[in-house]
Amino acid sequence: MSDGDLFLDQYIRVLDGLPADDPWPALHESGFLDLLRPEADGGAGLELDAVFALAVETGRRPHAPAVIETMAARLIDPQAIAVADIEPLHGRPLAAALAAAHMVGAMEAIEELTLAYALQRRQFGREIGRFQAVQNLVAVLVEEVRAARMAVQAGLVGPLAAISPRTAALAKIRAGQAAVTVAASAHAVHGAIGISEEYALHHHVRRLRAWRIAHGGENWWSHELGEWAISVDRDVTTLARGLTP
Amino acid sequence: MLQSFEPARIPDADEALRKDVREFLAAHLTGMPADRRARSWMGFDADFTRALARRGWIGLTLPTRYGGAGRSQFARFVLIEELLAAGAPVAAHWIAERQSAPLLLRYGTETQRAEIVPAICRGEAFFCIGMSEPNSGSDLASVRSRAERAAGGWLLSGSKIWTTYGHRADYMIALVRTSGGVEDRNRGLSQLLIPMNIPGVTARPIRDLAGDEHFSEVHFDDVLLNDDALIGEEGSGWDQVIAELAFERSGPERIYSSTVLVDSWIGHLRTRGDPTPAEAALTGRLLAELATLRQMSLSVTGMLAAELNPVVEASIVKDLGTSFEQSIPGLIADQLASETPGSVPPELLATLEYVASMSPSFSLRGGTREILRGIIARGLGLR
Repeated sequence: MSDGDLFLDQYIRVLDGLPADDPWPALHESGFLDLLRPEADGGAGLELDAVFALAVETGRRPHAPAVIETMAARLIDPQAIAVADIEPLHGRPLAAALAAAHMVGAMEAIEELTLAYALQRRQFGREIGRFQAVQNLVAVLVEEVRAARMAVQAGLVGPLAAISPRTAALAKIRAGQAAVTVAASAHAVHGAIGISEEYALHHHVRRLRAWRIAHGGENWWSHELGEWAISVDRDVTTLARGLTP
Repeated sequence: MLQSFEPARIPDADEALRKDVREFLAAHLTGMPADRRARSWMGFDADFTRALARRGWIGLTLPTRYGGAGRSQFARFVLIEELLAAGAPVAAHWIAERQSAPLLLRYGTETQRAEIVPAICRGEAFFCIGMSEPNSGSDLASVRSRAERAAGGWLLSGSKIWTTYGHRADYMIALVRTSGGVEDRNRGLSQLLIPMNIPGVTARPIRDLAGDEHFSEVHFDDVLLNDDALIGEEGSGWDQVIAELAFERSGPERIYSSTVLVDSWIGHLRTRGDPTPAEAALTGRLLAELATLRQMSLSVTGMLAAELNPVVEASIVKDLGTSFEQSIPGLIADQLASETPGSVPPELLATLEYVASMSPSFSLRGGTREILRGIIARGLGLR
């Protein structure tokens, strides 16, 4: 087991054991809030690939607090707590990339809910997932989730400070695009239960929507990325290769 | 079950191949208009294929003792990515290199391996794949072409249709019934190796909507085949074909079919200057999608390199990839529609016209979108 896996395992336990009323004292005590800080400062100097994994786990849990953003904020202010918006501290690319990583987690949770529901809910004498029309919806949902994960994960490598606007654009554009289809397909498969307050789907979808419009959406980032691409006189394949480290 | 798409990186030694390929393409494609290059892996040019072969670039992953280069799947990814992005006319050897040679190496006789595979690598043996029939398209298990045991071999009768470059191929590998009836579905099917120049085999081109002759119909009238025409095991044709289709579906050719059009359009924006916000945003979107699909395709290449069997994963990339390729002509047409009439270069318009008219085929060839989604649903446990 690598260091990253070990952290991830512990992190999941911490997240799942947080008290609902005020999670921050327990998080502070766990030491996780300082993991991004250099080892010399009592942290673990985690890089983007490890942060991606932690952010996905955070995004999967519809009531998890803004742990990753607070971790990032403490790189600048060691006392920071419960920080939801890091754009003023770290700039838009990092804020957008982390939002995209959280979106991947939310979409993976939605995929699991939807798949389980399609295999459990029976209509016309069989599970609705046995109908081709429903299979089609679920297949496209899964494709979008995998594409979003790939687009985000492929770029999140190396130190936090090294993130490029191009990497962030790739992550935020693809995750935002997937979010629209994933939310619509999941609701379509779920039917009325997906609209009810007691069912978990809407908590995931609500957060997915919020992250999609935070720190620039698909249109804003596509415009940025496109202006750059047109200004660089290279073919599109070479440009695509250069979007990931 | 579905495997996760792990990020994969091209090793430096394989990445180094890119520079040589680019130089070769710059020398060989000069002056070829974009609307020709847009034919991509449908463009047939035997001279180009032989020039590639002389560089040792056909059969890159095949063993050296059979004429290949013994290199990695990642080296092949670099090579074919460059060929496709540039719109090189690779159709002559494409099927032989991608599917037929690996199939013969796995199931063929030693004579076939030793004679045919090196000829493929020299660009001297072209292949077609006999799958669809007049009454068997997506329902491949319903094929009716039939081979009966005869003295010293097989007697084959039937027809294939929509066969890519059947009229220019030296060999066909066909899926035919060797026992039972249509009601036996995928049992009783076998793969046969058929030389296209023997008595009883006729192949006629079918003109496509762009005026090209890329597909064909092939008839077998009491064709006598030798014993060693059987590839692999009698009755195992279905499983062999499924394994072969994973190779067919996993490559970057499911991403790059409209790339010549994208580059032509962005080139036009650069020449004209002052891109509008809508043009910049579309450029960014296309670039982000291409980068995503490329990483997914690389990830599948990593699975192939690790000798995993990425049937479902390849279907996911192909469905996403062909949807992307197909969306491009419509999106670019809408941008060009905003320009002053007469100001768009004719070569760009001709390229757009070709890609727009052929793009429906992108999600038909090699398995329709609907079939792929069925495969994905099965991988998810829904069927």
